[in-house]
Amino acid sequence: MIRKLMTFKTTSIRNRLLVQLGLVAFVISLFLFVVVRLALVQAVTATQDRLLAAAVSSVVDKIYVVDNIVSLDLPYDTFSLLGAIGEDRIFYQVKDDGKFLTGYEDLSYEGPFGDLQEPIFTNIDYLDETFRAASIENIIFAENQARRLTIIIAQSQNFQATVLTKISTNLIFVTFIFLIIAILFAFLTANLTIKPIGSFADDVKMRGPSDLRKVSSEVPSELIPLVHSLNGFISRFRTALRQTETFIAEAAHHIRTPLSVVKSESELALRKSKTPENREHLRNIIRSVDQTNRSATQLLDHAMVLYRAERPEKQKFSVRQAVEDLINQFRPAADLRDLGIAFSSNLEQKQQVHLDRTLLETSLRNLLDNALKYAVAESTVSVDLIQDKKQITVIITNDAANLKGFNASQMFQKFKRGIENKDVIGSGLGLSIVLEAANAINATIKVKKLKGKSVCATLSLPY
Amino acid sequence: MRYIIITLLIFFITATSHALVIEDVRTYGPQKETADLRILSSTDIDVFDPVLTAYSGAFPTVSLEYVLSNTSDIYQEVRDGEKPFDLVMSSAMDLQMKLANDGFAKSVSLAETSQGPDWSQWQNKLFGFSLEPIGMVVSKSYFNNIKAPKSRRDLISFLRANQDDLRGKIVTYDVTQSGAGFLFATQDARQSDSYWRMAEVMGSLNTGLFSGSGEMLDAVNTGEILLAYNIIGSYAQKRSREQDNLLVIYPQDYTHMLLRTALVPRGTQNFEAARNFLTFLLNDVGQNFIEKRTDMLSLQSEVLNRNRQFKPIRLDTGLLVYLDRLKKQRFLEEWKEALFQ
Repeated sequence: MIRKLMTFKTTSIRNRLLVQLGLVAFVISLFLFVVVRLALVQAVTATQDRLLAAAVSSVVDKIYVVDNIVSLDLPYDTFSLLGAIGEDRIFYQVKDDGKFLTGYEDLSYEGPFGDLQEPIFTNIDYLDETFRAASIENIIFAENQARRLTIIIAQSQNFQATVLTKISTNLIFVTFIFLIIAILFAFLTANLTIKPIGSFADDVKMRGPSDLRKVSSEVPSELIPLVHSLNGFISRFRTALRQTETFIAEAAHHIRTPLSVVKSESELALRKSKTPENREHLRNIIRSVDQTNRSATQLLDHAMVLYRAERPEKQKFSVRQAVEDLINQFRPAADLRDLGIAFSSNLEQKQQVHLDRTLLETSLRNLLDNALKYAVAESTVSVDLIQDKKQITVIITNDAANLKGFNASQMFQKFKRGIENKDVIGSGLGLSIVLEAANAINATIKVKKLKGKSVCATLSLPY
Repeated sequence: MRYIIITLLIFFITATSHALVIEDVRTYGPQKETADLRILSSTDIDVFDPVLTAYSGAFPTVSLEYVLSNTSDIYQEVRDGEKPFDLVMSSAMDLQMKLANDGFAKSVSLAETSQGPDWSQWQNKLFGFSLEPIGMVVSKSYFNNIKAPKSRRDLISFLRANQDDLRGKIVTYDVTQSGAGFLFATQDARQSDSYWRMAEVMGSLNTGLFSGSGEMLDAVNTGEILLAYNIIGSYAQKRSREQDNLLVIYPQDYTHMLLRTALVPRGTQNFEAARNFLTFLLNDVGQNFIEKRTDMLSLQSEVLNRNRQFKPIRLDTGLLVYLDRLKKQRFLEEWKEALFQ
C-alpha cells in the first residue's frame, strides 16, 4: 500500500509541480524578507545618521566666540527631537583644540572626524551600550587664530530597534501573505497544467468500443507528440483490423462460389442416384453446404456491419416503409413453412428517421430471420412498430418451437447460440451482428422470454 | 521625645555623610534595622504621607523608610551611590532625566494597569507620578480692588504701570540656589520670548530672591510681599486654607506643570520592593490617593483636560540641555544681568 502511494507520489506531475512551485515560492519569500530587511536596516541607519547630522549642524550653529573664549548655547529642541522617537539616550562632547570644553568628558573618541557636509558616522561603545555617533571637526577663527573644534553626538539605538521591530512585524505578515498567495497560485497552475491531460484522457475514454477515428481534440503543444503516436497506433490497429475483415470477407466470398457448384452438382447426383444410402449421403452433403453457405453470408454481413459502423452513411428514410419492405422479402420463405407475419404500426408512412439504413435493415433482417427460424410451424410472427415520446421501437415476437437452454446473456456472443437446437441451421453470428449494427446506430437491443413459449426482441431507435 | 530621637538621627546621618543633607525621616510598617524599602525623596513628608500610609496599609509587612532631602543632594547621592536607596523621587525633572540618561536608573517593567500616559515616562526607567501646576501667588488684600494680571504680558504691563507700589514687593526663586527655581526659569525662557523682558522689569523693581517657597508664601500672607512668581500652585493652595491672604493665579498664556518623577537607582538592595511600590503608586489606587488626598494632581487629572494652558513639562532629553556647563553658565549670567541691575 505504502509503496503504491509512494509510486503515486513520485509519478504525479501535479504533486511534483506543486512541491516545486511551493519550494520556489518559499525560497523567494525568504529571499525577499532578507533583502527587504537588509534594505530596511540600511534605510533606518541612514535616517538616524541624517538626524544626527542635522543635530550636529544645529549644535555648530550655536557655537560663538566672545573675548577669545569659545562658548556653546546648546539647542533645546534638537536634543528634545533626538530622543523623541525611540526615547534614546544622548551623549555629546565638544573639544576645543583637543581640550575638553563641554559634554561628557569620558566619551573617548579620537577620530576620524568629518566636516559639516559629511560627518563621520560610527558605532561606539560607551557605558553599557553601543551608540551611533556623528562626529565632525570645525575650524573657527578667533582673533586671527584658527581653532579646531571637534563635536561628537552619540545616540542609543532604541529608535532603530523600535522602527525595525515595527516594520519587521509587518514585513513578516506581508511575506506570509505573499507565500500563501504564491502557494494558491501553485495549486492553480498545477491544476491548469494537468487539466488538458485529464480532458484528453476523458476524450479518449468516452469513445465507443469500435470508434477508431483519429484523436482530433485540441491539446497543448507538449501533448502533440503523444497524440501523434496515439493516432499512429490507432491507424496501425485499424489497418490490421481492416485487413482481417477484408480477409474474412474475401474468404467467405471465395468459399461461396465453389459451394454453390458443390450444391448444384450434389443435387444433380441426388436425382440420378439409385441406392438409398447414396441418396442419404448426398442429402447430408447438401445440408452441410447450406450451413456453410449461410455462415459465409453472415461473416460477410458481419464484416460489412463493422466497416459501416466506423463510417455510417446517414440518410433520411421512412422507417415504416423500410420495415414493410423487409417483411415482404421474408413472406415467401415464411409461406414455405406455413408461417404468418403480422405487422402493426402507429407510425405514419411519411415519418422519417436519419440514420444508416443498411445497418438498421441488417439488424432487423437478422432478428426476423431468427424469429422465423425458431418459430413453431403454422404460427404467426408479429412485428410491431411503435413510436412514443422518446423513441421508435420495433418489437418482434414469435412462438418458439423449443426453448431448451434459452440464455439471453450469451445470445449476443459470437458463435454462441441462444437456444440449443440441432435441427435449425445457425452459425451463432446472427445476434452478434444485430448487436454491432444496433450499437453503430445508437440503438439498444433486448431479447427476453415472455409467458408460454413466446420470445420477444425489442430494438429501440433514438430519434 | 520622638522629635528628639529624629533630630538626633538626622544629626547622626548628616554627620557621617558629606553629600547628603537629610532634612527629615519617617518610617512606616514594622520597625527593622534596615528597612525593606528605602525611599529618597524631595517631596515634603506631610504632602506625601497619605500615599505612604495607604501603601503601608495595603502591604503591612513591608517596612518603609522615607528620607527627605533637596533635589541637588539627591542627584549627587544617586551618582555617588554611597547609600543604597531603592527608590528615588524628585521634583527636579532635569536632574532625574540626566540620571536616567547617564545610566544610573534600572529598567523596570510594570504591569499594563500601572502604565501612565506616554509623556509621563521615559524608557522604562523614569516614571512621572504626579503633576503640579506652577503659577503666581498674590496678596489677596492688595488685589481686592485691582484687577489681577492674567497672563505674563498682563503681568509685565502691570509691573510697569505700578512701579511705585511694587518696588521691593515682588519675590521669586533664586535660580542660583534652587534647583526647582532653575527648572521653572529655564522652561519659561524656552517657552516664551517675553521671559527676559519680564526678568528685566523684575530686576528694575528690586525683586527679592528666595530659595524656598515657604518663606515667600509667608511674606505674601503678611502683606509684606504683594506677588510671588513661579510658585508650585498646589502647595500654595494648601497654604491658602490657613493663610487666607494668599491668592493663586495660573497664567492663561501657559502654565507649566511639574512632573514629579521616580526612578530605581542602580544600587538598589530590594528591586522587587521598589517595583511593588511603583506599581502601587502608578495604578488607579495610588493615583487616586495622589489626586484626592494630596495637594498634587494625578497623571489622569481632569484639570489637564479642562485647562488648555496647562502644559506638563516634557520628559525628554531636551531637559539635559540646561544642565550643560556652558549653557547653564550662559543662562545664569543672563539671569543675573537681568535681575541685579
